[in-house]
Amino acid sequence: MEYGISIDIGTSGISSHAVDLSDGRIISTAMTSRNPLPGANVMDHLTFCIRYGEDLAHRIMMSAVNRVLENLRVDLKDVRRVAICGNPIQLSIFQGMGVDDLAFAGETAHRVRGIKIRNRDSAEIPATDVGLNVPDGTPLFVPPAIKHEIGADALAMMYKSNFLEGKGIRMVTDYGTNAEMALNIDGEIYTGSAAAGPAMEGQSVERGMLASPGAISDLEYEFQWRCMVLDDEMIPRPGDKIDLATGSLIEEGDMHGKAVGITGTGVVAAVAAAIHGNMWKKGRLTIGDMRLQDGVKITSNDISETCKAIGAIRAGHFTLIEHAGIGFDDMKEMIMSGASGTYVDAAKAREVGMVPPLSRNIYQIGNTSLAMATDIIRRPELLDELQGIADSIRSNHVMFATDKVFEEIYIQELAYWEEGMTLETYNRNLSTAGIQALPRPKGMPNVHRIVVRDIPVFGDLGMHMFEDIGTELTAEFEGCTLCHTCVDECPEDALQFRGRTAVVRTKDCLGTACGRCQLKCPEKVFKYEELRVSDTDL
Amino acid sequence: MAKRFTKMAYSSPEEMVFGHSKAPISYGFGMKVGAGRVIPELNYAPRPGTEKSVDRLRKEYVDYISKDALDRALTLGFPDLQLETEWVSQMAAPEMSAPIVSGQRDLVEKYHDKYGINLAVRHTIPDQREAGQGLRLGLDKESAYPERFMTCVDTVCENGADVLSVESVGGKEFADYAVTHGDITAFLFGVGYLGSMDMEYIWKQMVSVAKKHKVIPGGDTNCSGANVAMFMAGGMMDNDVQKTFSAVARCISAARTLVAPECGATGPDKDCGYEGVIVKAITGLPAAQEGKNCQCAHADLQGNLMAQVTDMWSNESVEYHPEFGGSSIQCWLGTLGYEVSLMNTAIQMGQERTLRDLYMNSDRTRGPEGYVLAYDNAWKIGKVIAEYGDDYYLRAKAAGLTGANIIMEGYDKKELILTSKQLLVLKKMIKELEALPDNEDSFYEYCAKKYKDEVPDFNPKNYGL
Repeated sequence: MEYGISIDIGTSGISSHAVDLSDGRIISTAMTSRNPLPGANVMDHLTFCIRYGEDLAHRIMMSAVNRVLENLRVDLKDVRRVAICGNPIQLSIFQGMGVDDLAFAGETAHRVRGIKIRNRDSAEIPATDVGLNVPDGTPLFVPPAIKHEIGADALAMMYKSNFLEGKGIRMVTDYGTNAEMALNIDGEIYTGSAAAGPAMEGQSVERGMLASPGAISDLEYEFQWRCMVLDDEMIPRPGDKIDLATGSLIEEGDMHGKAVGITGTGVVAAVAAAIHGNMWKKGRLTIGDMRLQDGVKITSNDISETCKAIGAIRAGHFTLIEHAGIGFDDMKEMIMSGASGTYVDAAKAREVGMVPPLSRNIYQIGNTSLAMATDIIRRPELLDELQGIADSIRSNHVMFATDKVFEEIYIQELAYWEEGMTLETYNRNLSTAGIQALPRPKGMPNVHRIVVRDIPVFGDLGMHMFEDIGTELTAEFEGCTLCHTCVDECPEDALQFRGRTAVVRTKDCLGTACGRCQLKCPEKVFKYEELRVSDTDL
Repeated sequence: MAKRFTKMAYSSPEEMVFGHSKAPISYGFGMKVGAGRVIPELNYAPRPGTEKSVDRLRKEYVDYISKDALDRALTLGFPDLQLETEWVSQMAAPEMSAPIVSGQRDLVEKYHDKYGINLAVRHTIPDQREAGQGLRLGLDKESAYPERFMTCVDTVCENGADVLSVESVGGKEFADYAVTHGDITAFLFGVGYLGSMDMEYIWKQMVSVAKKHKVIPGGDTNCSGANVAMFMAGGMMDNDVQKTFSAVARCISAARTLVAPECGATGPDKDCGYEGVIVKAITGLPAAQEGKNCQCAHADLQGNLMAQVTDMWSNESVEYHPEFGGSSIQCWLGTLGYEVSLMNTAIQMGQERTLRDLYMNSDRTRGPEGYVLAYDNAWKIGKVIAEYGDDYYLRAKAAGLTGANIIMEGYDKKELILTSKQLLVLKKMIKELEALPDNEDSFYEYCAKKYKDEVPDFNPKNYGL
């Protein structure tokens, strides 16, 4: 049997299919729960590349991708095609291409540093050239970016939905750690990319976990809130009914005693419950921790992290709408892709601000990056079609990092979520900046869940999720007293000592965004930049 | 079929006390009901004429009434307040009501954010359905009142209300006949039996819409039946309806008002449902009640007693107008808030059962209506309703008969004084209720035949029959 392999590299994880080339059937699926690079978002990954070298980042990435391929459980000697998709940063790291044109935004920044914009058109290159453990001569298909900042993942979410079809106004967003978004107004496309962070994927949340048995995946409103807990078949079933304001148990559910953590969708539901119950004031929960069932709780910090992500996404949507010159009441059709965009309760997503507030129809369409890469595996000639589509899109990319409208809105978002600013003041401030008001959500949207899960088909061999993807960074620090303050301070438990050697698991490490290990070292001898990739890993 | 309560939430009447319910509920801006503190609920009516335009009515409810109430609550240092807007009939048009619902919501949010006071707004929609025209969707070709009823439900839920309630009128064609003719069988058939079926029909839909929009479905009241009887029975000097009749009617109405919680209503139920004491004994849900502090709306003989197990204390309704002490709603909020403060102080000092018994004993023997609602007797009536809980007819009959027997026992042991006319009516009711069939089908057949001409508006299709 001959295989093709499709790969999606996300900011918070890698997923992959093995496909039978004789009939295009998906044989197996493998996934990781983390991106192997240190850090929790693309900015961390870019910073890592700039500070420690793009080559190091590429080697860490390829080590992880090759482990993913091994977990597909097919004979890699029989692989004949590989296709990849992801955002421009992940794809560039994967291809060993420089990322400096992405790390520094704007023509001036590029000119000053002598940075040249890299070609991100569709490409067919030998897979072994990037370090994939597949037979020599296996082609790697790379789909095109639309523009240099609007990557293949954005193209995927447009191509795999009805976003580009016909006339009308619609928006699509790939909900991930990096939220790609696009707004189509009769063929004129506005795009942007908001660094939302990983909270909506259950990461950076104290009791957060990926969807697996025992995870609280939603809160259902039954005049109090009912925890929905995933059972062994990953089906959400009724857990305990809780009065969130008092933390008291109202009624035990079938899944009582079985909750161990909460998913990103559960955290979004918790935010919706907190907002509905008016329990989120001035950046903290008025009820202390939100106690769910079996000791699983949501802290103010968890909500805060999630609200910042929601704020970034809402500000992004708002900015595109402003640049396009339309009103919120024109924006009635929304397409949600990505795992978070598929599993989250879309009505709650709209309530909290992840979806424009007056959207009437919401479509949830799954992981479009992996789906498009799999399409390429089945039909390599699609690559030319995709290049044609990419070339034909009249796109206006809004670089949020330097955009004044985004800045104005995001400031209001931060004040709204963190400082208790009212929506009235939020809108008054925007009004003085000449920006339209943000309306409250109204009525109930029609939600169309097109797929049952983000990756609809796992294949006969099923899905294999594995944790062991990380490479290790190690160092011995002169003057270290082995007090282990750095270990205790690490919020992600990514750091340990083997003898005198400090060992950092890259997949867990928050990298440059955290740096507490270095900051808290009482002897000031911990130097992150002295960490080296462990030879055994690469 | 809706869930049925066949067991008592309270194992003894002694357990019941104001401010505490078995199933406290939280909603709105910091509102916790039945969780150890009684909440004042202020109800009001706009000045006549203000309903003539959308803007004027919104202004009346939001900028005058609600703002006055919130300012007075702050002035007097009340920690909690629930506003209740009982819709005037003009508000059945969404363009009239939606700005009021959203306007009140925005205002309470502002006050909560600014001052930390716990606030919520209940909206009680009008039930304009007419038995003669049709009570169910599709039946009323003339006025489409059932459809308008559901539009009101949607408007409440879509515009930011905290609690949805109604004073529904199912069985009213029989209740009116029963009260004016002193016919307890007609009351049982109309309110206890048909009224329960209508409650199931509307409350299932109301709860479903409320759940979708995350609004609390509070509860209902038999205002259109048992309260009509109580008002006509009046005070000591009125006797248009005998108070033994109105007392037994009240007991029957409890079996009907119970259907709202059985369909998923969570409480707090409606203030003017005096049968709420019995419903709380069965369900354990928070009860809104009214009595001494609703003299602005009406006088009755159990003003203190009704406070005995309340979780939310109301003034029923007051028209907005000026008084020496401020606007009328500010003055009546003052009386409500201080009464509630007394109750909550009693709770804090561990004296709640003493105060409960003072309230109860103050009015226990003032008349038969208060006597059956005294918490010990109310609990006994609740118990027989739960025993026959699976059958709308049998449980309503058992409630009426038990209430009547409780009054008779009270009279026999000389605890309760009855006039000879009240006694005569009581004995007649006991005899009549005892003689009724022991199954629903025979009862229906009997009543359908008996009232065929007397109640011409009766249409079985209104009740899905």
